[in-house]
Amino acid sequence: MLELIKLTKKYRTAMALQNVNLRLERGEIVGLFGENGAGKTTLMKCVLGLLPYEGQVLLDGAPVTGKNIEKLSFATCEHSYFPNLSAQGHREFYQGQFPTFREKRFETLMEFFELPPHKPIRSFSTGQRNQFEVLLALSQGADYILMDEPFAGNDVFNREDFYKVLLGILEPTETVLLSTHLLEEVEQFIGRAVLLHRGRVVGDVSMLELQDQGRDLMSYVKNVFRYRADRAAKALEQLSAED
Amino acid sequence: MKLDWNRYVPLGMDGKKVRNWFALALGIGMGYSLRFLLRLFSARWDLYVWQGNRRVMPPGAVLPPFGELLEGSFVLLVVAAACMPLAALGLYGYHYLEGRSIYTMRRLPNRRELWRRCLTLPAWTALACGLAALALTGLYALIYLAVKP
Repeated sequence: MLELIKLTKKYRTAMALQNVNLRLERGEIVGLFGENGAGKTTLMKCVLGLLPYEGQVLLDGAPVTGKNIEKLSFATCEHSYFPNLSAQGHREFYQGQFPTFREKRFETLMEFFELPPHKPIRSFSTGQRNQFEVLLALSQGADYILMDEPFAGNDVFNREDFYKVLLGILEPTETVLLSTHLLEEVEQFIGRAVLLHRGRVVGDVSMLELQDQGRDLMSYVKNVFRYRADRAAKALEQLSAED
Repeated sequence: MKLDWNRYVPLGMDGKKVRNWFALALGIGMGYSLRFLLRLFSARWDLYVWQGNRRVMPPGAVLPPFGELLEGSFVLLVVAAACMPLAALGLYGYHYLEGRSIYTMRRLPNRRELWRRCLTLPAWTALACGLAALALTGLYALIYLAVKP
């Protein structure tokens, strides 16, 4: 279980996260949603220990340290691979660093995405780079896989391929926390949605609950964020009235 | 045993190339120190005076003190050593190029991996600069004693 207790992150002038309490059980696939600046990326970086924070992050009951950090992997739209290293070079490095590295999964995904094994990653297209970033996170052998908008810049076919693969390869004990703006796309694939707004958790709902209520994720999110559909129309009206 | 230089630079960098750059800095520093020999032999030459068509050393002629001749000879070794923290910073900064591979390096179970790749070569070079200065001082002192009238 990954547990965040009163997670708080302050930047100089702003509160990025405020008393976030969140618990991810093994095997869950959780979507993390929120507007730009809501704190999604900050939350993940705190979990990984990339940013200092107040509060607690517990991984199967223990704080995240060098002893258990291999249980966490990370795919980010900022790209955490080594651009001048080939896929094969990454494989060798990961094998050496992560004892639970999933060799077979790496190979299968390389073949599936048809990625060249011996070219440096910087020579890949944007889509291929994103695929490789995700591939590494999935192959590391981590129990908790954090993904921060991993498909930014990917076309719809790439993304669809990815969802299919992910659903097919994940084991029941693997947990995924996926931050994305593509609500409708991931709706069928996640089991739970967590909504962040200005650094606070403002919504946490399981997809089954939503189904029971006969609602879809988008309407739930719009409701939580009190989205006013008439805002744009009113603004346009005002503009035309000025003319 | 063959040393794998790629283990001491950020992943994706050519370890041998980086090593060569550090070695070049060390070499330039050591090469510059040869000015001590130039000054020594020039000072020794100046001790002689012409008598007819012969050069002779007048009695009581003395070389300038060793320290005076040595002064400034190791300035480039000092500069090279002083640049090593910047070099280490550069190697660390390499993890921010074209992405954020620093995220991967900072979440490795082996916490020393990042520091080994950023600090080893600069630290070795700084140490080598210090040792070279010491060894060259000893060598130059011996040469000074040998050529002293």
